[in-house]
Amino acid sequence: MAWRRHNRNLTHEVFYDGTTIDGSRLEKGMRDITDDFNDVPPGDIKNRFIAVQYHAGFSPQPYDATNTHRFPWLEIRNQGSVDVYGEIPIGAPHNKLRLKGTHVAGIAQNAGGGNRDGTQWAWSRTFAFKRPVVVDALSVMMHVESSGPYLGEDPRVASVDAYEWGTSHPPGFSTGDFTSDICVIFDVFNPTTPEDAVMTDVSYMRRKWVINRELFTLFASPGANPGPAWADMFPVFESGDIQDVRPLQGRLLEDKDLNIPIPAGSKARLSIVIPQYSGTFGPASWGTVPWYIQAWSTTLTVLEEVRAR
Amino acid sequence: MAKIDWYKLARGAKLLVSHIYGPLQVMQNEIALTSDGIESEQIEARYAPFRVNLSIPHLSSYTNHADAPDGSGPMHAIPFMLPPLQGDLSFTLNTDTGNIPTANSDTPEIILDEVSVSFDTRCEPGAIVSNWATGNAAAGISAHQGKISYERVGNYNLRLAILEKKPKWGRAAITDTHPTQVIWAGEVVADIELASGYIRSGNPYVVTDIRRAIDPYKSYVFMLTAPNLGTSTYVELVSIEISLRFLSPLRERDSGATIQNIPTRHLGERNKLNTYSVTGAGQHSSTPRPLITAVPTAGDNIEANTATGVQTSMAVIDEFFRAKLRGGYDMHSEVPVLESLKDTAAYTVLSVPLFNNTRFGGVSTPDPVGIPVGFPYVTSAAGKFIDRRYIPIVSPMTIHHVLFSWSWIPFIVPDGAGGVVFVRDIPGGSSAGEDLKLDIGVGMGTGARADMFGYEQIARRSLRYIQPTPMGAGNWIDEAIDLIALQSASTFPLSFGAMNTHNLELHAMNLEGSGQPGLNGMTAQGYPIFVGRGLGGVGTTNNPPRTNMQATTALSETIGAEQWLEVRAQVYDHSGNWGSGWQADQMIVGTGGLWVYIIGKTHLV
Repeated sequence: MAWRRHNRNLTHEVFYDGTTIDGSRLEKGMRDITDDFNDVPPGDIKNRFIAVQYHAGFSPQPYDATNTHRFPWLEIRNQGSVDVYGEIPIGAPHNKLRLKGTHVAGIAQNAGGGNRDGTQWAWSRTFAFKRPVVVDALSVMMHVESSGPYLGEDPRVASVDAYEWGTSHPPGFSTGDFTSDICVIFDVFNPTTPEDAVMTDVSYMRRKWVINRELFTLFASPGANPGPAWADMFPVFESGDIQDVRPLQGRLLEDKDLNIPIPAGSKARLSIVIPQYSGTFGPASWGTVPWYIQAWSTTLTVLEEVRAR
Repeated sequence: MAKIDWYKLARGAKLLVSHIYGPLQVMQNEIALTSDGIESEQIEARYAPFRVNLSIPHLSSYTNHADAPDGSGPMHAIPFMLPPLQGDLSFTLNTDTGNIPTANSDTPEIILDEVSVSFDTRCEPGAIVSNWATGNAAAGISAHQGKISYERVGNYNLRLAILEKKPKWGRAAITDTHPTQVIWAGEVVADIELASGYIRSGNPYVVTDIRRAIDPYKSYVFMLTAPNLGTSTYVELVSIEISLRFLSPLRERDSGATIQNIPTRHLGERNKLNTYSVTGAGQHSSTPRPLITAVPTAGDNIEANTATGVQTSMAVIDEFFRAKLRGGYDMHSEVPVLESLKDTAAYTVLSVPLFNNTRFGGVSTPDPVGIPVGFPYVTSAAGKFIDRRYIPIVSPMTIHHVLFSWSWIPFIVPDGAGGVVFVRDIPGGSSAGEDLKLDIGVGMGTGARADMFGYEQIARRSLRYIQPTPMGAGNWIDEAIDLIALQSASTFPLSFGAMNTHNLELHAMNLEGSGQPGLNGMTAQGYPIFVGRGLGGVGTTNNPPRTNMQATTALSETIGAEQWLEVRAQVYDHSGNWGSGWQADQMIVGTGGLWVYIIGKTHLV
């Protein structure tokens, strides 16, 4: 049998019948055990991670004739003649597409002549992890209400409900079909090419999920909570002008226990990509204002290891 | 108990039980007995990280029409505080000097470890063009907004700082509103750090191993200044992600029946239901090993493998370690069947924004005065501005404090006639007919993909802007734990035409219940509230899985099945009429809105 180290953890001093024993070995054994007991190494602790949550979210400005900015949404395509203001340096744009795996039916980012047919917008947040972490959970809540300002649809598009195709739809879909056109991507940049979007490692990707199948709840929780039908909290969520939006409603994409290890020194990015069908197909329920038709709550949960000071 | 000592085996010493078995039994007792446990000072990695994460959708010289104290702008600032948790919080009231903390060397330290800042530039070495790029006349609807300007990447020079000040906290008069110390500062030099197509060290900008001690009784402000955003072409900082990483030592978790909503099965106590009778390992040996119960007597031979052998006893401790020491919670609020670690909890902060992406940065009254603009849900002069966030409960925590900030940072809105208006007048208070009211709360909810729906209140606060000057309890600014002035005079918010005393505020909500220390008083709020996912046992007909809520003396409405935290706020005119008493272009919510900080203990998982 090949040589194998003893299976003791705290000390290499192993005493056994028939072997020598002396004060020096005993003292070394006790010192090893005591040293570890008084300064327990991280590897000897089963539970040594702490959950840290990165929360972000916003309720966008109301859609009306005077809506102004679209931030934080920025287009995912970088096309010199279209997306640059002012001079274009040689070689720019360096990343013609800044995210991978975002294709949805009805939008072509590289249609004829390099132009796009429809477009997509990303809310992209970048994180720096100087020490290794484990991505544990990701939650994307789209606040969509049956009344109120966030309907999940552009109200100017007739005969279309939230996240549905209208009469102009790509092959494979019919009028009234649910759309599946939001991408949620968590990717990590290559440490040697940290600005090259082609070289990212996509650690998490959700695409082609049917938005209307991810309802927050099917439980009938009356919007005005008459009775009351359920226990509410303070302050009641109503504005006086809009009183039928008390329960939390919307679409929820939530993944837990992901267990995705992220190496030390990583530059990572969480992006939510929404469509704007402004070309051959569309506009579906997104209309011309995809940035304003839902509010957002997103939470990224990572596990960070405890450490010595 | 904690760390142990042992008798050295000096040359010539007789081998005694106290040399070997004594220390081993002490170790065994610490590992296995309910009353002891491995403490944080015995753990090499005894500092747990937590982060104050601040995500700002966008920022420009229009949304933040505010200069830093040195005159450069735009500037944005977010106040926060990292107070001691309830068990460590102690102070005496003093309306002259402000509340006086009871100094305690046992108050766990907090250390600033890392700062990182990032923003979205479409993956290019350029700047993002603002919606105000074509100037004032376009009312902030530039056709070029969102485009990349390679020429203007230099506009992204950033100055970053964390400032410290003694909070107003308890003091009747408003004095000393200015931060007194910079505890950290950083700078992004755009032409060097953001202009390369191959590596841009300024995005994300990260500084690690800062090792700066934080005073739990001081307030802090993170300040970001971008002095060139409005130079030549207006550009915008988009998706700003600020992460402040702190370290704090592990501490004992909350336990006992006074903790609200804690699972009754274990009450957070260690080894409540089971006790060690063997090493309990089994993972690295075929059978569990008996604990050390017998020791040799004087004159016995020195043996290795008998019941009282040296190796047999050492192996007990070794086997505990090889099976790994347990403690903390799992993600479903369950404690380990048997655990050895005593200090398994850590300080944590969850930062949640509200009213943070309005049309122009904040919310203001229009000209002519009437229905306020910039945020939805309000369609009449009687409307209330409402906002909420959903935060899933992933790992169990006990909530000790809930703080929130308020912004009076000015911003710009179009005047409707091709120009712009600088919104910098804050409300005059109820006596002036500008009766601003804020209701804010945190709750836990159940009902996501479930067959029930409901909330339980965790914390709440109501503020009424009666006077813009101190007038006593019940007045908005008198209720603040800090009022901060951090802006140059030229752009400072005005109150009745004069420079206001401050442009940032920090307040504290009160947890439901009473009798426990909070920043609003030593008996202002209830016991810590446990929130965590549960595996089962819900239902009112079952044995209650959680302790009662203190305020209602009843089981939480979420009956141990809470799934998310919800933060809500309502901002409204107390008289219910924005069109009466208010002036045109008056600030209702300053730019950036408010941040809610849910502070408590999280646990090793």
